[in-house]
Amino acid sequence: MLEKNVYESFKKIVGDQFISQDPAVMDTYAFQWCNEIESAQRGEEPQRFGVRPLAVLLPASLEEVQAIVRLCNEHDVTFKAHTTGMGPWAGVSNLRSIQIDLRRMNRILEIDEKNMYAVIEPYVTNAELQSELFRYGLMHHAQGAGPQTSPLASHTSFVGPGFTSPYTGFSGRNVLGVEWVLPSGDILRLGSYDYNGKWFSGDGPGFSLRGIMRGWLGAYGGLGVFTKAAIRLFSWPAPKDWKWKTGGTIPNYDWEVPPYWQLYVLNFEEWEEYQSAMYELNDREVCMVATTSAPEGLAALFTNTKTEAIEAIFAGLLARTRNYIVVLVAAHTRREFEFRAKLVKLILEKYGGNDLIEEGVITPKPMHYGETVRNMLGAHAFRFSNCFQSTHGGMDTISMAVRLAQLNQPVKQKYIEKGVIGDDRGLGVWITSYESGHMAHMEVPTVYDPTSVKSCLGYAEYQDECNKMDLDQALGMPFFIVGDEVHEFYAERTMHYPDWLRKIKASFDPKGLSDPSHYVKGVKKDK
Amino acid sequence: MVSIMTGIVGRDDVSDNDDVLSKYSGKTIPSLVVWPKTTDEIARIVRWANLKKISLLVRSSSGPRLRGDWFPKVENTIILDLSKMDRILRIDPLNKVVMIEPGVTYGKLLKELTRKGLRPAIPFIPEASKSVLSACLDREPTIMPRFHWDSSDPLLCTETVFGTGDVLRTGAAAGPGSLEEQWASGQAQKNPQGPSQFDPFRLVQGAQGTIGIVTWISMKCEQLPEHHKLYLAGSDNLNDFMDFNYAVLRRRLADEHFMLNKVNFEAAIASANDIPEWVLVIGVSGHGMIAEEELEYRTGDIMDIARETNIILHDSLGKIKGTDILTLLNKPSDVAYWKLQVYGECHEIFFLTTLDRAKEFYEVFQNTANTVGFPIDQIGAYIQPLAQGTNTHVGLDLFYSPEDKELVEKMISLSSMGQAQLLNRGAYFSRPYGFIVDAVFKHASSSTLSAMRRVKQIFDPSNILNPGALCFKEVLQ
Ligand SMILES: Cc1cc2nc3c(=O)[nH]c(=O)nc-3n(C[C@H](O)[C@H](O)[C@H](O)COP(=O)(O)OP(=O)(O)OC[C@H]3O[C@@H](n4cnc5c(N)ncnc54)[C@H](O)[C@@H]3O)c2cc1C
Repeated sequence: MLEKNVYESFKKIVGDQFISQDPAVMDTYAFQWCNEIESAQRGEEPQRFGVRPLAVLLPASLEEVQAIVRLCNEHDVTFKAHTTGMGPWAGVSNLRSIQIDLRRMNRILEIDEKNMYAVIEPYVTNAELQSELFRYGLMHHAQGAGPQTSPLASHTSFVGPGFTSPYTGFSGRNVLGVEWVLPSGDILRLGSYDYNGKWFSGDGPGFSLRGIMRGWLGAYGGLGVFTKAAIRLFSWPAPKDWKWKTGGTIPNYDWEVPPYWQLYVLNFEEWEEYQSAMYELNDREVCMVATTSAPEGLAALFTNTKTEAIEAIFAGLLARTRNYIVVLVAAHTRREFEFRAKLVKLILEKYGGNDLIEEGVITPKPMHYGETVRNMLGAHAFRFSNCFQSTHGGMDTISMAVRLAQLNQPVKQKYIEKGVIGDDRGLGVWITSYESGHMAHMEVPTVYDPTSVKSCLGYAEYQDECNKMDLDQALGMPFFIVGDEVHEFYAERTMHYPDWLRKIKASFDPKGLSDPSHYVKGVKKDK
Repeated sequence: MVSIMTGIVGRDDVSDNDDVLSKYSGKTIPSLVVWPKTTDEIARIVRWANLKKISLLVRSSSGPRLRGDWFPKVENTIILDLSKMDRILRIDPLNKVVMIEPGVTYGKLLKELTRKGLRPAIPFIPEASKSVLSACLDREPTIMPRFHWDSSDPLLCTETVFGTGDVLRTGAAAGPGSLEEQWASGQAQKNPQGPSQFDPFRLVQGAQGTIGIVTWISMKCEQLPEHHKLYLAGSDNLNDFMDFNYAVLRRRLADEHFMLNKVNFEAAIASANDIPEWVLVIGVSGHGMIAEEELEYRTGDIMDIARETNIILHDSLGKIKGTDILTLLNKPSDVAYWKLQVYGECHEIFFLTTLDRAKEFYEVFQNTANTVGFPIDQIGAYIQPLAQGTNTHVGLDLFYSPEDKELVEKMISLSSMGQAQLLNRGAYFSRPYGFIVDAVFKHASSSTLSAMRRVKQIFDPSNILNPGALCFKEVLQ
């Protein structure tokens, strides 16, 4: 329990209306997708409920966040930031914890059209930011989790691939500056802001404190609270007079596709040809999207209902689909479009592929173009079951992604045969490239049944086997390598990097109050 | 000290000869120069220096120092000269990446990469002896903003010996697996981020040698174009280019993209009559299948933007041909560095801002030059958009003759007064050197300083790496 005086002090900061201990409300924070996997991996009974916070606070400003964090320090209360809260990562782990829910901090503070960056608060969603940016012919890099999630959470704290990654990169590389309440309550602003009130650079003077901020995966709320982020913007490839127009109704919305846009599903018989084509398409900067999933996944990507997806499969989709790349060419001008479209055709020919859209195997409707750039396709993965999670996730080259996909197939098939995960013949992967192919990652979205203990445990076992395989075969470090136990599992074969991470945590959060469950504790654990 | 160092690196690679030391001396003379050749040697030296509290200063480039700051700041410093670690460890054309040691120069790298069909992101006509690794570590601007995604580019992974003597490969290179195992699994040390939840490479980069000693890096490259053209535009007003610049940067159409004032254009490229006050340089290329069509489409769209923004692009400027400039941009400077050819010496000042403010800062600096009496026609300017146009490097080169004592005095006043004024107006000295360092950190918030000190405490707790640099003024105990 929180002592009455502590609760009262918290209440004073945010006001009566913006603090709660209502058990029903606390449950909504504790009940999260993937908790069943995390608990299974800890060797516990799989369950959706995580730890219930002792209170939830809804601050409205930097000052309120700072006051909350200071009070936590005074009374030894653990805290964790929660923005759009999709997944267990924003949940608390310590019994004496509060949740800082940032939903009231939801303003877009600045859009610098010319210098192409936006300054946002935590609860600005991808959808909101995107809608504002269209006016300026701009877009941002939105994580693949969808339009309802927070670009600030992704850029400052949590991983960050998205469907437009070939064109817009990776969240962690697009940060230009942040306003950051450190675990001690001190406020840190990175880079140029201190010198001119502008956020065009987050690095220096001297080395870049972005180096401790998030790394590749993000600190998952384990190192304070971010209250503002400046993020890079990109050109929205449409003519100046193009307007966002939608029509129709659920599930068959219509959308006016910008004039120089074209989706392709480039299908290759073998991985080898796939890989060569993936390299070349990316190197030539023709794709806004270059993404790969399983044949089953293709059925889910470009249909609106489960029935439609199954119909596509019965119409022969699986038999005709091998290793494919969903490519979106999105050009600004006719000249750019014609060049890119021609090159896509030539690359397809060069590597002996076929276009499944041209052949009518799958037919994306205009709305699917919109869903692609709004990162809604990922959620289609829920279509065949109500749940999935990803294994693997190493990020480096296209070749590594392909090798990972090949090596993963028999392992996944084994668990499919055990009946604990969904059957995609072991082919279910997600590959995307970044920054015109300079990097790529592969993860394995895997469907499981969250209501079945056997399935949850089975999935967890599969994930453990994948992690071990990544270690043994040097296949990169997967996503979700967070938290002390998991870091320790990797330490020996990754040059003991967690020792440094622990020192950072100990130095910046000496009391260990910024919830370390998905980051690291400040002291080395006894082996 | 000599015998210990000799024990680690061998007799031939240690020197306390006065002539040798003088080459590495500023106000303070180092006590020893050591040329290590392996990571292990460096780690042993660092661990020993930790015990003895001896300061270490690393140099990778030979050649001139134009920032007046790369000399020992404390007594009893050992110079680690890494120029003998000069191997290109790996070139991977498929993944467009090269792995290099500190002593690899642009001259050497360009030759090898060209053979493999690659080109590096290269600074504007660098010194021939400039270490590629140290340029990358210093966030030195490169001339192709389209390929500059993050401020840290083109630096990717590193192997670093921290001030504690511990070695870490940063980014995906950390593991799992050795480098050989990673190569076998198809990796190429392309992901600079991590390992995991921190980015140690961002802590070594920009640190001016105060956090770790980098023994190799991987660096991203691009395919060598088959067709490559260069266009030029001139104006007496820098802001005339603004709309064009922003539109082209946003579209990622060009390769080379920067501006030079007349002084720098003449110093670096060629002099001629009628060179306008400002020259805009735009390179366009095509490679691979239908390379020529790529060049055509990019050029076509750039020309359309030029028309809409009232810019006229030419393929030459009087007698100076774009093709000749292109040749210059794809090799290092001649043996005599171009910045030293005109007057013998050059003092560099540089900072970050956004493109729309570059002119304002330039004029502020010119006004100060007028006030102190430093000739305007000896101030070169180089404006380099970075991070695909998000921000801009402004480089001001003060050319002077070291014999002209009066001018040297004026240069010194201009550097200190001019930079202070720029700082006060919001120029961002993200890579502070020389006169401006203390003012920059005075301006920093206390939490920034405290955070930097904590990082320093973790990675170089004895403060043996380049003590006195940045905000790390503590004296060695
Ligand atoms: C269908 C689907 C597809 C997905 N695809 C992707 C994908 O492509 N790429 C990807 O990266 N992820 C993906 N995810 C994973 C994940 O759900 C998202 O990344 C999601 O964006 C994370 O949650 P959130 O944005 O709602 O933020 P939250 O859950 O609120 O936060 C995420 C983490 O950041 C911390 N955090 C949030 N805000 C702050 C703050 N202000 N200060 C400090 N810490 C903070 C939280 O404590 C938490 O640890 C996907 C998930 C699903 C269900």
